[in-house]
Amino acid sequence: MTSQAFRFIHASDFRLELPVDGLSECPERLESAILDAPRVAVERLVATALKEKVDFVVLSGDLLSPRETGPWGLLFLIEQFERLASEKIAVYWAAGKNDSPDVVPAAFRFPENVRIFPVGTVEETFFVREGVPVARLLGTSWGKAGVAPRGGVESVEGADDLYTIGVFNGQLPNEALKSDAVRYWALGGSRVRETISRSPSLAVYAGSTLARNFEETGDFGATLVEVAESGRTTATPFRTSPLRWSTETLVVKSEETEEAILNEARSRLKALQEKATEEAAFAGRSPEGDVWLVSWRVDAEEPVFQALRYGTLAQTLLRDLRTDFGKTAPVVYSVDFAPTVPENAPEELFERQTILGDYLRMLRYYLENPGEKIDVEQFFSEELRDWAARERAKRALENRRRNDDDPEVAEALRVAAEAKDFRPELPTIFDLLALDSLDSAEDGETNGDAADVERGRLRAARRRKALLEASALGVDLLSENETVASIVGGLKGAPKKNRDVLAELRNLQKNIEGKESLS
Amino acid sequence: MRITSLKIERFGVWEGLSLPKVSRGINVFYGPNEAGKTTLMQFIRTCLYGGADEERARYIQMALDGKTRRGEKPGFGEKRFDEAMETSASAELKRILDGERRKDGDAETKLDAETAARDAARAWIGGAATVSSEFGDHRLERRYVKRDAGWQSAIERKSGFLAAEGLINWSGRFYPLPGKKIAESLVVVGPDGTRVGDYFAKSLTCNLDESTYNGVFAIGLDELQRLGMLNETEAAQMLYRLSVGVDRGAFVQVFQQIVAERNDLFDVKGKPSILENLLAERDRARRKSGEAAGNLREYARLLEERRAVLEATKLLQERLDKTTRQKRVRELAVQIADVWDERDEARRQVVEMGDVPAVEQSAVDECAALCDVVEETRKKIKEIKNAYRALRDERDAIPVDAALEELAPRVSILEDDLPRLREIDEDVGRLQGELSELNAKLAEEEARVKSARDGKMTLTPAALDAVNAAIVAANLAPETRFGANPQGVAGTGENAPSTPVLPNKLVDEGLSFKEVEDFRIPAKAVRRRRLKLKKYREELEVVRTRLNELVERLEQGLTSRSQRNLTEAIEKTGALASGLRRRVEVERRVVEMTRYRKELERQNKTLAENQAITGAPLYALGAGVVVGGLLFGLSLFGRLELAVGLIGLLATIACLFYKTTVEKKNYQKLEDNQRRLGLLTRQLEQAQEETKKLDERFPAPPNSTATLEARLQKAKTDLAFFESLAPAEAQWREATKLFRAEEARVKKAEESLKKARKRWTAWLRDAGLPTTLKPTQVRDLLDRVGLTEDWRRQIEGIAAEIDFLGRERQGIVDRFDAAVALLPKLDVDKNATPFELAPKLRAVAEEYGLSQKRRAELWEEMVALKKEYRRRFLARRAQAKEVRRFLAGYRVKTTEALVEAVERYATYRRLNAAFDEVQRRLEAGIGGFCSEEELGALLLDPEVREELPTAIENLERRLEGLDAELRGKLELSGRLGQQADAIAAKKESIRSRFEAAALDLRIAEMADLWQSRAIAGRAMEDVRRAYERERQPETLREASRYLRRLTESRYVNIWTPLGEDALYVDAADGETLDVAALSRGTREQLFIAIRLALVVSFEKHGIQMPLILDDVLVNFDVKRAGLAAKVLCDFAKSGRQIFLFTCHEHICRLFLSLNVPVCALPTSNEPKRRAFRVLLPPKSKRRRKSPAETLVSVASEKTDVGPNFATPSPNADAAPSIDVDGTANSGAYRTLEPGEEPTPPTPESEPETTEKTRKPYLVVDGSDEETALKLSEDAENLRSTQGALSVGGEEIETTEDSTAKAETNADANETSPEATDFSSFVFSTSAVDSDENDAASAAQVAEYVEALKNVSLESERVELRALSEISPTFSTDETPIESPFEVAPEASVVDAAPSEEDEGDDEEEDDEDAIESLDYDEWATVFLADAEARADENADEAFLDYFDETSDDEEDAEDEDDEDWEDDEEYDDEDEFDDENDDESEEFDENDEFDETDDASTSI
Repeated sequence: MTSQAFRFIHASDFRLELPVDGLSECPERLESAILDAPRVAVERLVATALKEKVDFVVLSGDLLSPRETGPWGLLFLIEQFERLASEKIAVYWAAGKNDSPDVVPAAFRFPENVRIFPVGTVEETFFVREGVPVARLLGTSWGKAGVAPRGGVESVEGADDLYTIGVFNGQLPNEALKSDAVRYWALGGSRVRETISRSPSLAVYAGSTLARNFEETGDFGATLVEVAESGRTTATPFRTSPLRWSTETLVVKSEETEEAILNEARSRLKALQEKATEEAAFAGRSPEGDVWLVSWRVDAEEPVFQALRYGTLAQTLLRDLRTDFGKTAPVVYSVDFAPTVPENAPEELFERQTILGDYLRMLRYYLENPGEKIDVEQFFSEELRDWAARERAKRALENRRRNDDDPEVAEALRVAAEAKDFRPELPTIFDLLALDSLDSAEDGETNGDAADVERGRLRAARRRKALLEASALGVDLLSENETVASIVGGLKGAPKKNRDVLAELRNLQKNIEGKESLS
Repeated sequence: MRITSLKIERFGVWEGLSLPKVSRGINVFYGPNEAGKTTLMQFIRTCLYGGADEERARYIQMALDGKTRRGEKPGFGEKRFDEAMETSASAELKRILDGERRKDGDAETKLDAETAARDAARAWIGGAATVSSEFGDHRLERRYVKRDAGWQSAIERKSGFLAAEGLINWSGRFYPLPGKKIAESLVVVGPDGTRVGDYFAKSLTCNLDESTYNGVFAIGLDELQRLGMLNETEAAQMLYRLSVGVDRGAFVQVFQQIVAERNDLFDVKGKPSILENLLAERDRARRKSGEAAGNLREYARLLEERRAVLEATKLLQERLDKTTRQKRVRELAVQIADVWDERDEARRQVVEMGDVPAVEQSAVDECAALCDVVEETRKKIKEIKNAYRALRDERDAIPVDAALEELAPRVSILEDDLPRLREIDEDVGRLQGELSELNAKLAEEEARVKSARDGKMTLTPAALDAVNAAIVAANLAPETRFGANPQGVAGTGENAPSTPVLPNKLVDEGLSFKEVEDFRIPAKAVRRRRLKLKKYREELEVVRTRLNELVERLEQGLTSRSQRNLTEAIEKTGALASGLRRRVEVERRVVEMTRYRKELERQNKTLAENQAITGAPLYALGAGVVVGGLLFGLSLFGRLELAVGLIGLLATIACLFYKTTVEKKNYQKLEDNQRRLGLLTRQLEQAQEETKKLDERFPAPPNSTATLEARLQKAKTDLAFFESLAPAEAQWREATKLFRAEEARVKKAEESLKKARKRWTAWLRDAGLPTTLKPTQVRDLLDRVGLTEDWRRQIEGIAAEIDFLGRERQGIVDRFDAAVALLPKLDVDKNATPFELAPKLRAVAEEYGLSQKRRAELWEEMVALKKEYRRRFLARRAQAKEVRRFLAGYRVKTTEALVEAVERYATYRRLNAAFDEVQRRLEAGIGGFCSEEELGALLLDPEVREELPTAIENLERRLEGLDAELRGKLELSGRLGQQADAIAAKKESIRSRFEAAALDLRIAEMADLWQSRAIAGRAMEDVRRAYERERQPETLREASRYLRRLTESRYVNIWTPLGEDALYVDAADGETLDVAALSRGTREQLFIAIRLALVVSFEKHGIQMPLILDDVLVNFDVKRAGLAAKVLCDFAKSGRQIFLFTCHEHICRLFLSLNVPVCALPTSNEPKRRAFRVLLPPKSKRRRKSPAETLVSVASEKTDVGPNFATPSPNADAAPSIDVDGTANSGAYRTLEPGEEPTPPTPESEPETTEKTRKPYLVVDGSDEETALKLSEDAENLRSTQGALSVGGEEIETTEDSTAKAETNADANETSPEATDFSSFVFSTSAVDSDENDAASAAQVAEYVEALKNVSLESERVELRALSEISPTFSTDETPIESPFEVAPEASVVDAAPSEEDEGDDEEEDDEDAIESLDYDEWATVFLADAEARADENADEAFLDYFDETSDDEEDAEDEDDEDWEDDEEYDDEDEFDDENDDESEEFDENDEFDETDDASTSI
């Protein structure tokens, strides 16, 4: 087999053009850390390559969308490649749809060490050390037409027993994984790291270099691949993302004081901070620039629940936590402090012979009958209502295309024809308000498409969430403990609060910073 | 749930207030503004729901701060507690210090400490309420503390201190109230005094949340005021909402709020909304980030341009460099031309020398040394050769023999075999001995066996021996099997005896040993069967004996009765017995029937005689007809009144009718009798027939004289005897069967024994044995056969062993022979034994071995020499080769040529050095700037060399041009670079992209919010509809009832059209009014009616809570207020607890007039907040002689409803302990400081102090518990001494004269509210308006009484109440108080006249101000001294017990009221109604007690 050992880094999906999308606002002091995060991640990747003295770097596409980043993206990339070139580290790059060579203007010239696989054909190239070929690389890039030669990559057969690496962005056909001609598939196009096959060949999606929201909680980075002389391959993922996201759950009893909650939260954050520090030290890096974003989910009993939901308690806690953990790197930033809406209102409330009881029973009915339509169209403007009717008709039509004689289809067509013109933003609003999910979470006819099923699942989840929220709202507004008036008073500010929350928090932040500077 | 007691420790302005017994019905609190009414009200709510409410928290805060509305109140609150604790501690210290020295001083110190401790205990804020519910009586204790720094530890300190003082043990935990600086603690104490979970408070309040409680059970003045302030439409709307449901008020607000929120998020009408704003903002952000694409193209263009420029620049630069270089090279060439030439000369000389090898002088010497070494080696080789030859000769002299060579190893092997040979010889000898012995034994035994088998002789041992001897003798023919040793080497084989061959005939004849063993089977079978047979025979004998016995017994029995067969006998006798019995019975019936027939015949006769009316009655009837006809006739002719005539006619008809009827009846009777007679005759005939038949069937025995009965008796006895024999017969049958079975068994056993014997003989025959042999003999024989088998096997073994040993010995001898054959020369005897041969062979072998050893030594030496020779030879060849190679190194063949080469080399070196010198100079001149070839091109060609200076000038000019061009390009490229950099530096897109993403999140959030709001709105709307459809009608029905009563049926119905949000009211005249059209007062009535209806509707859902009413009657005119008060009283009587607060005296009076005690709170200018009085309804004025007597009446009062209040004792120091439970001795709270002036009477409650006898109501000062105790005790005394005055109605009835009875009506109206209720039942169809329709109603009553004249005893009570109804309750606005309270209720008078009642009314007006008021302070002065003496717990409890009894009685009365009332309202629930009707009769039976109750409350 291979006569020489070598090591390389496999990375993909820098997606330099994609910003951090898990924050609804940007805290001022973290602004640079958050805005620069995509680039910092790549810089860390390059630093690791230099430190580990790898032989070459394999990039499997979707590094950036030049159109969306503008020139700085490509320039940044070139700069990083040059850093690698200075240590004579070769770069093999199979582009994806976003970073296809077709969309990169010719004016941008990559350094000599960068080898971009061509569009339309599979190219075979060798990594050569001291005149001896050490590894063979097979790859192809996506073109403007968007059609990647799916069958191309895997059809090439290794003529000799040289270690072969396949580089490709997108989904591989299953047959490709069954052949042992290629020993390592460096795949790209998925934001999440995933090893899809271990034998006969190792196939790895490197995943994005940056975690961008609370769903992306794993280690986002790249993979260091080491091939021993015997041909044994070891793929070790390492983290490059300067941002980390986690959701912490607190359980708060009714008698707990603010201090107790704060202390519990502090100890949790402390642990996170220590963990981040340790990891940075392990990677031989200063923790500077690392940010850990934490979203608090609080299972709170009354009255803490109310205080968090309507009072200022959440903001006070956030302010304290942000101050405490914002000074030293790595920064641990608490994004929000939201009480979890209970899955079920107390059974006792359901049994009450009051309006609240009736109300809760009605919502429970909807919860238990996902097929039942919740008609909220009356809360729409006429325009939107018309449009929705048409949209429904259209969808019904799509669902029933097979059966043209269906009277419902005929009716749908008629409605569609009569509908008035609509504003262009209506579709967006329609989708946003997810009327279809309120119509019915169970889709009568699906073609069994995985995407359809997934959509249906999301719809059902959303409907459920909304129902639970409505139920909690009812309990808050209609039940005891607070006089109705005071709650209503508290709520009056709620939409406004949402509207101005960014500004308010900025002010708050400024105040805190002002205090800090004073002290 | 009901509140049964209240105790305020500190709350708002109240301190140490205790209401140990709160009425279960209505409680009225009267007090001027700021008297603490609202505080009390809030306290009740606090007890139920805690202090989370803003308003209530204010009161708590006030108490905590020790403040009142009028400013600082020193000494209370937390500060007070700390001080108290200090005092207590220091007092304690003092006590300890002084305790040793003076015991007397103790009391004072102790007092200090106790005072301080009590103060400390009172420093708790909060209080307790005892509530009674379906779960029993629970106490809800709520305490409050300030929540400042370290509050928790402060509480611990406090609790600890109080516990240590033995004052209070507080186990509750304090929880902070959210958003307030107060912590609250709730302790719920169960009926058994143990603490139950706090959650229980929720169960006690029926799980009703507070807002609903406030919305339904608490009606406040403020609500009414708000209603008043609204315009018509709004008021209508509010009332409508109220009617829809309890939480609807809040619900509508919530609904609107949700709609507003939803619209803020995304508007129905398309107004700008948050969502749309966000969308717009996001689109803006997206657009901005999209601009980056344009930047990219621009940047690429710039980059491209710049690159082109840079490339051009590069070309230029290259050209420039080239030109510069050309110029320099040419200049250089000019400089170094001379040196160039010189070098060329030197090189030529060197080249001429050609190739010269480098040879030094030392090489010659080295060559000579090498030649010497070669010579020496050659000499050495020669010497070695000679030595080798000498050795070779010596070795060849020693010979080698092949035969001897082979002998040496064999000799030692042969020697090893000798001991084994000896062993073999010995073994063979021993074995042959054994063999002969065994053979002998065997022969003997076989002979013996054979003879035994033939059976020719008995097997006695002696005979056997003889046979054996014969056999042995016959078989002793010896036969040699093991011959002598063929070689005859040893003598051991000669003694082997010949062995006789054993003839094994037994075996030959086919009886194997195994078969022999089988003989046991048949033998055993025989034995077993024999035994079995014997046993069977014995059993058979037993059975036979028993059978014989039974047969004998049976035969005896049958013969005695001369019967042969038992079964037949039983049947016959049975039939005889039953026939005889039937015969006797029939005979008896015949006799009876005969008698009855006679009777019937007699009756028949009588009836036939009486068929027609005769005699006097006939004459009387005839007279009647005649007189009647006469009268009618006369009247026809006008002689008499027509009426009389008609009566006459009627009489005539009546008489005629009577006659006909009677006669007809008689005839029918006769017919019946005759029919019956016929029937009887037929039956008699049948009976006689049957007798005859029976006689035939069972004829009497011919010669018997026995009667029928005797015969029957005999038959019965016979039957019994036969039946007794039946079991014996059964046994006999069974025994016979058994006997047969046994017989068969014996036979079978015999056969099987025979068979077994046969088998045994067969076996013997098969075995060839005599059949006479016994099994034991056979066994012996077989044992011997086994023995011979063993011996034979042993003999075979030994023979085999001897054979084997012989073969081994022969092998050894053969080997020795072979060894000797190898040495033909050896002189040995041919027959020598191995033992002789061995030493000779050894000697030969040793000698040969020595010579061969020497030979080998010589060979070794030769080999060594040969090796040495070879080494030397090789060395010599190498040395010669080295010399040759050395010379070749200098390219010569001989040493002479070598010397010549050395000389040539020296010359060559000299020339080369000269060339190098010149070359160095040349290179220094060039300085590495260009190559020599380049220069050579310029210098070698002479023409070029000439033109060099011109070329240099040309080049210089070109250089200048290029330089200028290059600078221009560089500038351009710089400019382009700057532009590109500017674009590249633009990074706004990052920010705007981030913002768009953030906005996306926000939009999603908002959309989710919208969804939940939309769902909530949707669901709420559905719920609202359901509510309006289902709950509202029910509530409205109920409300209609109350409205009817409140408006005296002016308005009769409230309703709402379906789907319309409006209420309508039907007036009595049929007019339908919109609520908006009603007057304000009516609206309020409507409001109250709806609220009461809601309470009822909640009751139906199992929720019962006390009602709190805050001055709800204030806006009503007196008449309306009166109606409302009455409705409320009735409402309370149906089991609802009401707390009514008022600050208006006329309302206070109103309730007093309804016989409801009122609790008067002190006025605001009173210095103490703990004192209050109880106003009681006034009593009979005739008996009101002095204040003291009034007091007594108050104490003995059994109030229908009303609170019993205990308030702090003025003599706190005398109280022994403080008990937080509040059940006893709350008198520890003091109201009077020593030396303080008693409170002056209040103007409100005492309008005319001088006219005490005319006061409109009684006042019991409740501020002093001791006083109350005193009152109760005095009352008891008085009752015992003047029983006639205060006890039951009957006594009173006897003392009252009939004229007074008229007044009863009015009195009864007041004292027995049930009467009022009843009236509405009676007159439910007519509007009772006491103002205008007094006369009419009186007439109706009279009529009713008339109708009831004959009704049974119980209904007299009803009558009374009916009468009482006539009296108007509230005749004028000015006379809320009216009753003279004089007449006992039992004074029921039928002919009561309305005019008298009017008089009663007048009297009431006179008594307008006849209310007795007794201020607390007056009583304080009277009873202070006494109270001190009696202040103990027992007294307190006695007081309470007394009131307990009272209230029990009341409840009975109330229950009754309920029924009436509900009856009145045609209550839907029939079941309930029925149930209670049943009870009613019982309660009326207890009239006496009931009367007493009523009476006591009205008379003294």
